[in-house]
Amino acid sequence: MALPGLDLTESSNSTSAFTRELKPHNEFRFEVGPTSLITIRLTAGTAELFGTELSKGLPYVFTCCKSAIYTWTGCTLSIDGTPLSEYTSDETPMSTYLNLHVALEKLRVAASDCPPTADGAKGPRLLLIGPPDAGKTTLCKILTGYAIRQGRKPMVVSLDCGGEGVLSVPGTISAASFGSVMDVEDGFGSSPMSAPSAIPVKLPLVYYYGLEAPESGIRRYKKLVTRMGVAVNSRLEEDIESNNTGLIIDAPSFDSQTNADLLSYIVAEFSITAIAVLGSERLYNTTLKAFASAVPAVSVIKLPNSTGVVDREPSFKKSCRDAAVKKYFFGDAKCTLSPYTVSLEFDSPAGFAPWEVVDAVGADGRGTNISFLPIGEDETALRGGEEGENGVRRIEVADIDSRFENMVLAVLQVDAKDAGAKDVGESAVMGFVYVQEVDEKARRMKVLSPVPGRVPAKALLAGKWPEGMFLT
Amino acid sequence: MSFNDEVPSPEELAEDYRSSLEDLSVNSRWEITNLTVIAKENIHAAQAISKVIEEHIQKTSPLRKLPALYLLDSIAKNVGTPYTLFFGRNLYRTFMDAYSLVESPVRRKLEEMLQTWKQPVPGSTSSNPLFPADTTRKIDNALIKARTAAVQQQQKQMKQDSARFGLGQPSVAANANSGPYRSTPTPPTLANGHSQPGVYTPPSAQNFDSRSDQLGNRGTPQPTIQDTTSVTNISNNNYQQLAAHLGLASSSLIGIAPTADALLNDIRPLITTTQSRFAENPWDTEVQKRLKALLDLQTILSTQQLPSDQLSQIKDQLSRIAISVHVPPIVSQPSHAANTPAAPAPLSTAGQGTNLAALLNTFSKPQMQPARANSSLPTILNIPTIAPGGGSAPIAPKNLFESLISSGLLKPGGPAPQHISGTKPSGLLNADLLLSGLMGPQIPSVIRTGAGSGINWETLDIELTSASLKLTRPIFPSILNDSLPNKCGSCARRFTNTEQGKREKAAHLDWHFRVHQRIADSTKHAQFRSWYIGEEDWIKFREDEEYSNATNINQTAQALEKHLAAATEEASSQNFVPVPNDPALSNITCPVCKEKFATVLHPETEDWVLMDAIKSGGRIYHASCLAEISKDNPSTSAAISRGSTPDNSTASKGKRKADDLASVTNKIKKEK
Repeated sequence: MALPGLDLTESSNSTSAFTRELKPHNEFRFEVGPTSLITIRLTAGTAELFGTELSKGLPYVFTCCKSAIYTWTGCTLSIDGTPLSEYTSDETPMSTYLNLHVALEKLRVAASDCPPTADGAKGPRLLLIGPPDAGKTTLCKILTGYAIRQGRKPMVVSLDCGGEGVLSVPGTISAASFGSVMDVEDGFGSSPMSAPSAIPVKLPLVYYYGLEAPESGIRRYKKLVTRMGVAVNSRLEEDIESNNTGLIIDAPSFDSQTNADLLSYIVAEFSITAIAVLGSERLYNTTLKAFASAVPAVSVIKLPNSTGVVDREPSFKKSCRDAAVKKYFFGDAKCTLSPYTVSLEFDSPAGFAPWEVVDAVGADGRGTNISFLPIGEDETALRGGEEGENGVRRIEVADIDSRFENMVLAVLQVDAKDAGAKDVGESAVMGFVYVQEVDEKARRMKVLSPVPGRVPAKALLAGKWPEGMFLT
Repeated sequence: MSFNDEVPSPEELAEDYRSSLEDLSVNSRWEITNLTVIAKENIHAAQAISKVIEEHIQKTSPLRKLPALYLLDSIAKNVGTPYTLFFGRNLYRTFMDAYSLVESPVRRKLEEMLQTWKQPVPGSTSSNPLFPADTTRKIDNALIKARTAAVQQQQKQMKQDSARFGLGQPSVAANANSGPYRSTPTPPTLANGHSQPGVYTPPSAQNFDSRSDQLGNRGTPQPTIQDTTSVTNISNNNYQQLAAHLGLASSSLIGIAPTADALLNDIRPLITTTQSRFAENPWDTEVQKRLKALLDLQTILSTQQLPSDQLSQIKDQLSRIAISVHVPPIVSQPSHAANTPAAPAPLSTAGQGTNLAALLNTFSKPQMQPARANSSLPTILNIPTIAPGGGSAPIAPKNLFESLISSGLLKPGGPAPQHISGTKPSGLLNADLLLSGLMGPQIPSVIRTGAGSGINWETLDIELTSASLKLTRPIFPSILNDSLPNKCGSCARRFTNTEQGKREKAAHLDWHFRVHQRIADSTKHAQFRSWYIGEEDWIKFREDEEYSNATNINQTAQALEKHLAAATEEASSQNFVPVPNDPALSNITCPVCKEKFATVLHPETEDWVLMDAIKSGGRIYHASCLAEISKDNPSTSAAISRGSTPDNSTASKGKRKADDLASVTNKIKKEK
């Protein structure tokens, strides 16, 4: 048969299309592998994916995700493609989540009625905490989606540096105001690019932390949280609408008392008014005790986690992180981006100032995790000095070696020439480059840059998270 | 171009036509007609133009092949010779190459088009088919072979499928896109759902193909419900049975002692159906009223304790409404009616309410046959008055309203049928009246007074505590959507129903249109991620109303372009591509500014390279030229081209813009 691909598409099309009718308050859960695609259409009724409504008749394409479509009123979905698994569940905590939203909305209405300058005009500021894989990010999305649906403009802060990153790559903390609908197919959506986008892009403020767990570099993490807090608070002060809507903060995974210090730190920096604890009775009770007498008052609430929460095995998480980095550089199916290969000369006078995240500084300034140190470094080099204080270390020219290959470097907003450890440690991020090749002799790196042209002469920061990957 | 006095050479014409073809991205009747007219006017260049079209079909992305083939079809049918001769030579290759690359819905459209090619052109004097029979037969044979192979494959898959899904779900098999291809007479519509009114469809075979005429009849909905005399003299009992049959099978509608919960269950699907109908036809006041009445009823039921006689009164009214809501889907989809779920898709009910009678009249009465063969429902057939020919849809809500008013549930005169998003609750349900009318217990109630901010948030019984969040409150889901009831069909953004909201939505739809255009244009250029902005810029940045406010568009664009500009300035010194190996290409020029590239020996790659060059989409551009055209400055989009068609600004915008920018870049270069 002289028609390449004909049989293939015909068979996949004709055999894998099916429909699912959902009763009210049911949820259609599905998993899609990294290499396959499924297309879902809403043919009748109403439905939402994590808080964002589906439009009737439009095809939504999903790949590499574990996701769920919920309906309040019943709906019919037509699905094209073969999901790894799919089932319909009638046990969801959605009505509790909706109650949470309505309770927040009530506070927002109250805030809007206050004069803009009054303290009461601050909308509810919610912090979501819970053990890993409890569905924090999902709940964050649901609440954001609901707020947008009611014409609100929530400010969403993701402090979860171990996750996939919001509007950015993993290893970052970011904040963005969500004034327009989110992309159904694609997490929190996309950060700005040169191409037009059918779903308005969101403009994030991004800091690069570069480690998986906040504990590994708690001092620098706190500093970044403070910087983020200052920026977010200043913006909310100027933007009354956002201020009335308040904050939704996705915290890093908390599962024990060890993070109590960090928790109260975040609560203070963002003037949190409510903490929602997902899925852990123990964490709820310790948190409740800790904030029982807090001034100003912080309400601590307990939420069930979804029965659909799946333990995402490490390999799946890794492929999600890789996909997030890939998306940053190459875009997605809807909009292909073309990154540029450029070489960075570390000997040139214009030069770059490469820095590296140090993960060995414990809360007391003492190295606790020596095995992660670069070879040849020891504890003493980090302790006490300026670099150690700020959790970053200047990379000497001699250190340009192949360990950076296949890693992501953050291009900071600080200029290379006047960068000190303090600036570098706390600077916001301008973008990321991906190291393809390191030439140790010539002190040159071949990197993939998202934007055409020379990479601006800014400080570069290398981290250990996200871990190395192969981008093709 | 028709501006020129001298006749352009066929080569120039072809080149011009080629660039116009590149803009043909969606199935727009307007663009296709326009291109057909150009082809007709320049019949002396027919050979060149048809070659260009064939090449375009060959090269363009699979998504754009269908409009291009429709253009071929349009030219062949409307202009005829010599185009049919030129197309006919390579028709097999042109058609099959495209066919093998597109997805199956598009294939179906291509097959439909192929059917029309075997017929004489409608309205022409010649009785010869459009293309010679042996040409189309060759294609047919190839398609049949392909289909047989596909069917065999399918059967294999079906076996696996039925094993996998089991017998419990016959709907899977029924709904799968399986079965042999059946030539439906439906006029092809646009594959990607972009429902412009001006979609090109090949002249339908229906007009001149008697075979498809029969098919057409088969596809017509067969009305199966007997004509009606009057709606008012049906007993309540019948109503209930009918309602029960119509998917509202909850016992409460038939049972003796209705409970508030059961009634709530019954109301919910009705609200859904009515809401979707309202969304389709927001100006239908009857639907509006009915929705309103239902929502209010739901509120009352969920918040008040009603005596049982009132409950049964409501129940009766509900079953009446249920019928008026559910009858229309029966009219259009008789075979599905028996298993219609609680919320059937009211797809064909756009013109509900008053237009229903007119709709029904289009089916002549003799055609109506009692075809409801479902033996489990004998009572239905005995009711002579099911169909709403007498206009039961408008009546029922009124009835509900009146009876609610008479029983004191609603305040007479108070109800405002429109959804008004006022800032103050407008007192549709007066609490005092409710109390006096019901003499129920004094429950502080959630009183919803229409859409918008009508929810009385202060008294809303919910607190930010674990215990309060646990309770299920059935009316909350409607809160989600009711504050902004007016939803954008393509991105689910919501607006109020006020004048302001409608204006915003109109602006929003314009924005969708613009973005759609820009996305179509942007596929021609390389795109890239922008740098993030710094803290200070971010604090000042506001993304609100990006589309409704022109100044903000510019602000947003400027904020982003500031960084782009910095990047592109440096781009020119950094970008280079290796000199192409093909000697014919060594002297290529930049397609934007038509200047040559500087060739140097690059120290790093140790190879000859073209400096300041970027490869994009198979062509090599000056990096600065490409950046210029990629920026997509909205102010230049007003440029008009193609003098004969003044309002065609969007169709060939991309090309014209490139020309404008080329001249600008040239100027800049000279100044340097």
